Amino acid sequence: MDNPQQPGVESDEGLVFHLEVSMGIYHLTAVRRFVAELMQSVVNDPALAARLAMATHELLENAVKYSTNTRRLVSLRVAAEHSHRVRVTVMNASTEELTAPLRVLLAQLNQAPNRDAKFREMIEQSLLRESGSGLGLARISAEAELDLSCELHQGILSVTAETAIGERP
Amino acid sequence: MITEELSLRRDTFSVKTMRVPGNKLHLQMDGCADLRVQNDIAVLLDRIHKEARNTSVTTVIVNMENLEFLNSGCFKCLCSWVRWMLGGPRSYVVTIISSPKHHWQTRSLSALRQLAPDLISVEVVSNPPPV
Repeated sequence: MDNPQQPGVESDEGLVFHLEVSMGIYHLTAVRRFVAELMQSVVNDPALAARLAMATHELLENAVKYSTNTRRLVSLRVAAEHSHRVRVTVMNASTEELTAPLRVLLAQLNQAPNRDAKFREMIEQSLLRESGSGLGLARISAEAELDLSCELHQGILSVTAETAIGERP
Repeated sequence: MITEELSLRRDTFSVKTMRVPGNKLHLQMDGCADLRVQNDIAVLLDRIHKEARNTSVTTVIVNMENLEFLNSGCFKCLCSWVRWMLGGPRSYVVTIISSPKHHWQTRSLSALRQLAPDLISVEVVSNPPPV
């Protein structure tokens, strides 16, 4: 999508799509499908588009579950840098208390020498948890093969999943 | 004929369970399994497991050809099911039918199978209809 006149599209900055919405669980399927179709048109790779769509769903689900904003105001940004990298970023209100363990988890996932082995390890851990799966981010790392990062700025948490276009780690 | 007590119907997701000849249960999973149906799936899989354990079922076939998406919470439900299978007499196996048109299935189902490779098998349909 490279039409600079279209709302939400700023191709010179590599931004493909930006959505800000009071997000509910019932929105997730529609957004995931939209991202899959949109990214297929951008990267021309159905598997990569599906990986990005899966990451979008898992990140948005986390944002809806853990947002500290009562309206669940969530932002989704999808960006592609001219044939180099593609990224999905989800932003929601959060706190340092919620973000600190997230940083630790993302460091573990990104530094794991074998992401599949790390995913299997996390599945085992997940089965011991009473609530939640704790598998969404591990799935993005291992299955979607995307690198994860996060930052907290002025009470807004941004979690990004990204990869190089045309390459698998 | 659909076995209603082992089936589930929600707006975006359904599981239709049928008994088929050869002491088999056939589960047809369709749609999108997300946060909204996690608890329902957990309860249903518990029922399926108990039914299989307590009757003469030897194989549970799970057809995921039309399962467009499964979130991580619902994936955990499948992992828990495998754990229950490993926790007692191994009276039945699970055969999952997957489709390459849903890319998530390749890696997720491979990870699931690795929890119990002797009990779980994954068959990939060839020439699936386009999405």
